[in-house]
Amino acid sequence: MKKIVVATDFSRFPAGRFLTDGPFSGERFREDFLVKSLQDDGAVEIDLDGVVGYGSSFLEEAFGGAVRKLGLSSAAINKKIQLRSSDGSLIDEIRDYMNDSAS
Amino acid sequence: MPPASDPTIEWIKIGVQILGYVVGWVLVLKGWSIAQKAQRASENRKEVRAVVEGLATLVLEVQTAAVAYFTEQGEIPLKASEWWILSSIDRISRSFASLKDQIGFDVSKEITFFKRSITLTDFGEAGRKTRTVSDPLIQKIGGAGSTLLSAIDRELTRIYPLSNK
Repeated sequence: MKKIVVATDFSRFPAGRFLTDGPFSGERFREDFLVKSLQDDGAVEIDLDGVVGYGSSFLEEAFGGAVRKLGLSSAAINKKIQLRSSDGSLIDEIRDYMNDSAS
Repeated sequence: MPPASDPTIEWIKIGVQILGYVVGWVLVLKGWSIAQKAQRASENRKEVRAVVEGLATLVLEVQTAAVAYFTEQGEIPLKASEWWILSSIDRISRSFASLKDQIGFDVSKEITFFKRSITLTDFGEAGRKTRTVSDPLIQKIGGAGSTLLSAIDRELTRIYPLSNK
């Protein structure tokens, strides 16, 4: 399983929803990291700690968007996407976006 | 010449005396232990209240900053304001997550609602438009802030009932 540490592999300052919003947007994280890892390795573990903060628009576009794009079911999400964070409410929020987008 | 006392009765007298001392000391130690426990609980309560009050103040500051950000009436540059809001929400969220783990102080749903109301729509997005104070988004942010503050009060009262404050 591929492991992505957002703070070091992507940015400590992820922000915005679309590519037009900046270089570290949710769309870019989704396309270059999340979807790519899921397609290459089948599953991914994401460490969310160490970042200044996540906007909900970033999270929704990255995680909800990946689930929509790949057409994942709720059951598949839990198997394929493992989330790690010292803030449990952040994981709950991301799971909400993924489950709302599940097929 | 006084009559010789019964040795059994003497032993019983000594036994009762010793028992009296023991019971006395047990009561003293028990009282001390209860007082210590009450003092510790009181100190914990004061500590938690201070932390929670600090976080509640930060919630109000974030709410004010968010309104200034969307209406573009703030004094700090928008990008700096964005990062301050994001990092402050992160701090609020992590601090309350820690309080939830330690003492069951649970306002996680309200924090997520507060965060979403500020950062889900238009936040940090290139197409963001300047809003007026009567815009539904501004009202939503105000409502979410109030809901979170009410939840903080609710949890404080639930965990530390008024009579024990």
